[in-house]
Amino acid sequence: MWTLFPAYYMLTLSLVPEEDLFKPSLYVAHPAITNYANTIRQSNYLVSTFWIQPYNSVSIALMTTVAVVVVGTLGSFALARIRFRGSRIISSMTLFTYIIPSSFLSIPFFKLMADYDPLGTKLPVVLAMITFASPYAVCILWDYGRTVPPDIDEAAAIDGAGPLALFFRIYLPLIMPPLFAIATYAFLYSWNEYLYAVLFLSGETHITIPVAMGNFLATDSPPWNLLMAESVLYSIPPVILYYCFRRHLLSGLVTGAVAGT
Amino acid sequence: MATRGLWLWRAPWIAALCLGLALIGPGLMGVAGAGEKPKLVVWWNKGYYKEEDEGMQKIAAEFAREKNVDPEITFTIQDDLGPKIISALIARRVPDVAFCFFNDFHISPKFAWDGKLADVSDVIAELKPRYLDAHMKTGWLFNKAENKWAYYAIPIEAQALGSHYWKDLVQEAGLNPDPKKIPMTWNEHWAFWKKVQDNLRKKDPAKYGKVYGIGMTSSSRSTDTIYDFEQYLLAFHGEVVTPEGKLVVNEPKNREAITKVLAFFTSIYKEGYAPPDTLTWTDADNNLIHIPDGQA
Repeated sequence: MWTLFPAYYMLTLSLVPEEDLFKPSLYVAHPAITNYANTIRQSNYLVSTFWIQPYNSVSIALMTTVAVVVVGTLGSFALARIRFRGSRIISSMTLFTYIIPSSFLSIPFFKLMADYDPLGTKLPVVLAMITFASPYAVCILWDYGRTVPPDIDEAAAIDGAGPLALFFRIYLPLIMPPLFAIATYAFLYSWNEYLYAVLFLSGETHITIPVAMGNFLATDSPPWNLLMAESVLYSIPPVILYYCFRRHLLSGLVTGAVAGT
Repeated sequence: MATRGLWLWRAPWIAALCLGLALIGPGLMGVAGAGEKPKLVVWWNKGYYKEEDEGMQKIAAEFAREKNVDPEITFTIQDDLGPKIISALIARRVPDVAFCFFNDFHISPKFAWDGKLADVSDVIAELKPRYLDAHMKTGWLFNKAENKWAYYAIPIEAQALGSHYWKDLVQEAGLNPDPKKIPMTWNEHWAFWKKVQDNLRKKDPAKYGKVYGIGMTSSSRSTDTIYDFEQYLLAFHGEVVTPEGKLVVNEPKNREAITKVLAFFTSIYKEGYAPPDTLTWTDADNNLIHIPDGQA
């Protein structure tokens, strides 16, 4: 009920014509696709750059996903499969970054990005997202990687496999289920990001969908039905992503739930 | 079978990689194209109405033609623009122009004090004939680092507080909605709106149970609360700072006035004459709650 009702209400409100907007009802008496048409045609000033926003959001989310997957797999491989001094301390500190809320780090991050000069591009948002999503990725993949029997590595080593071959031919195929879950997590984390997108992105054509949707709330008379139509469209990519990788996600999410799995 | 399985798990990754390369290529670096004209970066408070943004865009386009510059305007809602400007000032990577409703009391005085804002007295001198004296004071700020007073902000906007009410609701409450008949002395004025609410609730509790007499913003996040407080303080003959910049908040007369203002402010909420969520309202919320259905 708590999960489905907001989604249902979002959907119904997106189909409500403007004249019925403030008539409370659990169903739509006269459904209309006007709000979707207006959004797609960019015919309201609040959605005037609608088509560029998914591009911005998707590109940031994809860049983050790729980077988090790379950092997560390499980091977890080093921690789980290579024995070196301090590996346990490093692995237990991966989640340390979550002690400080990400919003507290926004100003230091802004200063850091200003010093290295990528402000005005998407790179600061991507770097911030990588920073906040990677520790979780390393932690989950490391936990899963530990459950892969070391005998496999030893057998591969006897056959002449070096660390790179071990990584690409043994480790990577074995951690696929949690990797899909981590990739989805990284995508959704950056897809929904608001604060860092507001801080780092400037220019009407460079903002992401969540920031554009936040702009609706500035007005004295927000077109709620239009906002809900944009919300429905905004939720399509994550839903597609979920259904594409659902099988892998389910197996990835229960990773480590049972000892020895 | 093994080969097919391998292909299946590779396929989404290959597709994702291709899509990623297509998106990342043009997207990662340089969201703004390099033009020959000098770029003017403007961060502007998103308007409450479409016409405000359009007006600003029109002004910017005219300015761009006249001065041969390439303006890049970002409209941001004021709750987000304040932190954005503060971040930029701390990082010393600021836009050329930043206008936010929070600037005059949250941002300009502090950063002028720290010596981080440009002295814009020359711009003010040019615009002076167009200003009222009262407006000028907003930008006249003290720079502690250089120990001097100067203009560190350019006032471009002024507000006047007013009350809006639904005539039909006042009439429904059995009172005269004519503006000339509404009491204009302090206590009687506010008592009038309380009476409107009381009468409506008595008349039809089911219909008017959630209609409030006074939609006064009382949250720490809105500018309205501060503006209201300053106006009410005048009504109670108090002041916080003298026109010369001296802090006088501790003088008994002012302490008493502040206490009375706070008591007045809180009494409206405590007595139930303002909606319960006024404590978290943004600047837009009092308008939102008033316009669509006359809840306050």
